[in-house]
Amino acid sequence: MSIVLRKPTKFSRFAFYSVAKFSSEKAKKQQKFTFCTQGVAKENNSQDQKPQLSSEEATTAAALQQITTSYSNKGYALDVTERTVLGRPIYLDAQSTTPVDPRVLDAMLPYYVSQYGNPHSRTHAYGWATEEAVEKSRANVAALIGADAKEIIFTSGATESNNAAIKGVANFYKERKRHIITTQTEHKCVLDSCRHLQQNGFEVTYLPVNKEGLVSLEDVKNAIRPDTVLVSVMMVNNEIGVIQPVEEIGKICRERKVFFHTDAAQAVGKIPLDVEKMHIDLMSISGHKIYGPKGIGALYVRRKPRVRLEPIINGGGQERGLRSGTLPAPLVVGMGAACEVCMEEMERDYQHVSQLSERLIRQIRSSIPHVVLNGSEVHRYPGNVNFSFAYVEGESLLMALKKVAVSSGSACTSASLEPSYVLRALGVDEDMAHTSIRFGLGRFTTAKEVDFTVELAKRHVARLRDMSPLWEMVQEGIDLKSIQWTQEH
Amino acid sequence: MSRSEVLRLYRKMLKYSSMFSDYNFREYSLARVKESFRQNKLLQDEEAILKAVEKAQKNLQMLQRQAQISQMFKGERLVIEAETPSRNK
Repeated sequence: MSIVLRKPTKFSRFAFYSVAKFSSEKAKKQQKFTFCTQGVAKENNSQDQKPQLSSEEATTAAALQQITTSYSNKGYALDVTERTVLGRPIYLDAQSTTPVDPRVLDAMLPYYVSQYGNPHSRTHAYGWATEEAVEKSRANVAALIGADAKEIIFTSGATESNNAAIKGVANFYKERKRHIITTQTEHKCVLDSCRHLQQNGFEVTYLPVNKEGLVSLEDVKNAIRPDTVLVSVMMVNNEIGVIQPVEEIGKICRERKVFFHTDAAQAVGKIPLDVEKMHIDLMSISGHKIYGPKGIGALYVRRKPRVRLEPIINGGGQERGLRSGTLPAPLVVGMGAACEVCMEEMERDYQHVSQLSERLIRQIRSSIPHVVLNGSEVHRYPGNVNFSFAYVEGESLLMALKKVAVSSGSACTSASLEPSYVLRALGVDEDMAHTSIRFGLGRFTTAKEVDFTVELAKRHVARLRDMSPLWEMVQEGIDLKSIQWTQEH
Repeated sequence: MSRSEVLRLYRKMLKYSSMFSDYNFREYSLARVKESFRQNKLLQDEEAILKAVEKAQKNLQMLQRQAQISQMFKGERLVIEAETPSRNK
């Protein structure tokens, strides 16, 4: 801490010295330079008031400043957008996808290089070898969720699994039952499947969530009708990381003899789960969210009591006829390996991610005023941290944080400028929903990356707020809600 | 299994872990190897030790292969790894 304390005077003296020394020709460059060092000095002062930063965090901050100043000394003054810092951005978007674990890639490669048989070929050794590997993977996936290997069906990903489950069950039982229950905060592929079914004469109830993002059990109970065929509630939300009370919902569904589907793409391999204990009838799993390859997923379909589906893909009758098409053996092996690693590492991963999450939340809260953590504080997966930064335009902050790969919400909707429908369902005001940023932490994230992100966020939020007239009004104590923005005609 | 053999295995695993060109894999791998050897340090049961060593040897082979692959497909360095350019240049 003492180093940090000494720095401001040193920097400002240096800045003064350089101002005196440089000739008028270099005035432009130099102005930029002094601006930069002043910024650093100012930050140092603000840090003095935050004694809760640990020594390690202070070192990272100091190292960052060292990068800043050394670049400045070299001549191309580091402007506030860090355009001159080299290197690719750090990855903090574990909810959209995760890197393939080297252990997983190592398991997959033989099936790309030498074991290229079709797992459905029964007449030769090539087929037998890949079939054995596929069945081993199936067992690994099943073991991770407490299921039987026969209940696992490989698909192309969680989107296909969700489609197959919802449309499959609805269409199979459509003669007698035509009502489906889901929530407003589901993933787009669940909502869109439901909308598709609505067009085909089904009725869908979209349950609201409270401001923590949780669905109420009473609502679920009251929504179930005699003709309800399926309840679909996601386990961990992809935007805010909230964990729904799946076990209780499963119990209600079992009592009322309604099938229960859960989209567990963000949950499998990260939190312990058991399909028996949670009374789950159908569950969607994704490969690339658990450090596996992209293009593979799985659907758990309960056998006792039996859940029947009408397949959405017809053909050669692979996967018990529920999903025809040759299995991509290398991807299946990768998914199996990813599940095996997840099972072994779950405890460590959870602990690691919790520590980083706690570090990120504590630092952001202590260094940036007016931030709100979206979603429940308690019922959540710690690797998904969704913050709203008040009085900052979300898109500008995303643009400013070019050296950190983060997202404003779901990757599927990140192209649109609309605020997240999940946050709107929580009752988050439109202005706050516009300023949300999701930080995704995973197995490979390090503490250094978290500190770097906080440092950048701190700088840019301050910079963007300095430019904002709204922020100025807030500082003056004007209540923004009392302002009449348009003139009445 | 002698102490020196285990130590040799440990050093080899650290060596290949540090060869990963990707920052995140390198940091994770180093931390993970250290952690598991520290955890298994207190193992007394002969059979359990053999099992742990066998697993470590398998992982060593994986590390050797994956570190090499990582060297072949090097990506750009991460922003937090960026070297501070020296002032003499």
